[in-house]
Amino acid sequence: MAKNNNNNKTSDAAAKKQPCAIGRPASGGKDKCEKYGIAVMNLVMGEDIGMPQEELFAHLKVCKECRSDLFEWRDTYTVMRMEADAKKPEHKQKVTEMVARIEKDLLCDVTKAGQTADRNMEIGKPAGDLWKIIAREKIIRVADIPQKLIKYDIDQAYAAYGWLGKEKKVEIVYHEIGKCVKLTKDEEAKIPFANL
Amino acid sequence: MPDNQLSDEALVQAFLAGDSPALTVLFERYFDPLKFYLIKISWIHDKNVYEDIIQQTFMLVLRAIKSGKFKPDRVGLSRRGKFKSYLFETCRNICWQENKKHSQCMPATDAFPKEPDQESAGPSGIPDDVFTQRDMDVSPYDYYRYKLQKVLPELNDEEKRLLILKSEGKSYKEIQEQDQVLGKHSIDYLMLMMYNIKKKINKSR
Repeated sequence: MAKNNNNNKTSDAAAKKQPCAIGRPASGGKDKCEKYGIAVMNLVMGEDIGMPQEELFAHLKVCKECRSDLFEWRDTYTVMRMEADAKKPEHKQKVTEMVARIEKDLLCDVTKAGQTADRNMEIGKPAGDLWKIIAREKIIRVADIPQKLIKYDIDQAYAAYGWLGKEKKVEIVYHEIGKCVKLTKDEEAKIPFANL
Repeated sequence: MPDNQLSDEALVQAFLAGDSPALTVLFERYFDPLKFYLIKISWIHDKNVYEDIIQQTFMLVLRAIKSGKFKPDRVGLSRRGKFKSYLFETCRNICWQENKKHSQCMPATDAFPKEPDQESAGPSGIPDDVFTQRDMDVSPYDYYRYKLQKVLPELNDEEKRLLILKSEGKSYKEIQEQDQVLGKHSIDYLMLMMYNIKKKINKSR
């Protein structure tokens, strides 16, 4: 933490004396860092620093106390500005809006878990996997679908089957082994090996 | 509105039990400290980005708590811990992701003096002797706020006025031209007055 002892040497009375020019030591030069202390303060606050920036930065490179002073004052000034901003009515309004958005987000999150909002994302993956299995095996029993999609739960597996049917990617065929499902002609054409 | 003195963990529980104003109290408690933290660690100097990150942080943390991935309490076991630590950690992670996206904003290392090593300082940059063990929870934001509040009674009316106007972002020139009380002083005098305020703030602990 900065302990700017050099800067602290100037008394309050010095400030009340004749105003000094920017960058000139207020205490008649007895404090070698004072002019940089004022420049550091003004740099942080976006004011004219009263000297070339290169000169100030060159000093800061060699003077650890002034460097500490810079960072401490930067943080202090940031907090000052934030405190002032927090008192504005717009701040209160902004906080209220942000809290409302967070609440809405959490509420949507709960809705998504059990309802259809996020269902498409959940169906996409098992439906893709089921499509690949049917393409590989040509025909599978409907009753075997959950077993084929073992990594998904039974609802997801049948939802994937339903989705493929709705999109006309699969069709039902009655076979001696039972009710089966296979890819439609259009979909078979999409299998790279189907056209060979 | 819930009691402002309630712990973070109690406020989280109250919010999850359906008490919406508890979230407002919690959010107001951490909005400025998180923003200050972001100003210190982020390369992106855009307050809208900071606000987005803070909002995202709260969403992620509350979702994690709600789904049981994180249990806030005051015991430092794995997957359990203090709400505040989890909040700042999440905020830092989101900020790093944002920093990566804006890597062109990364400051040139030689352009600005580097922060000095703070041998005597704690992990937050605050000297260890400033607070007692009980106050170790204090954030850097609270530390600077405390210093500002402590110095206020030591300032005279003109100094207080100057501090308020500078906090609002007014320049010396604007203050001198527009303020009836401080307008009688020269810009150099105002600057020296501000310098004395700064020294008093630096001294206060």
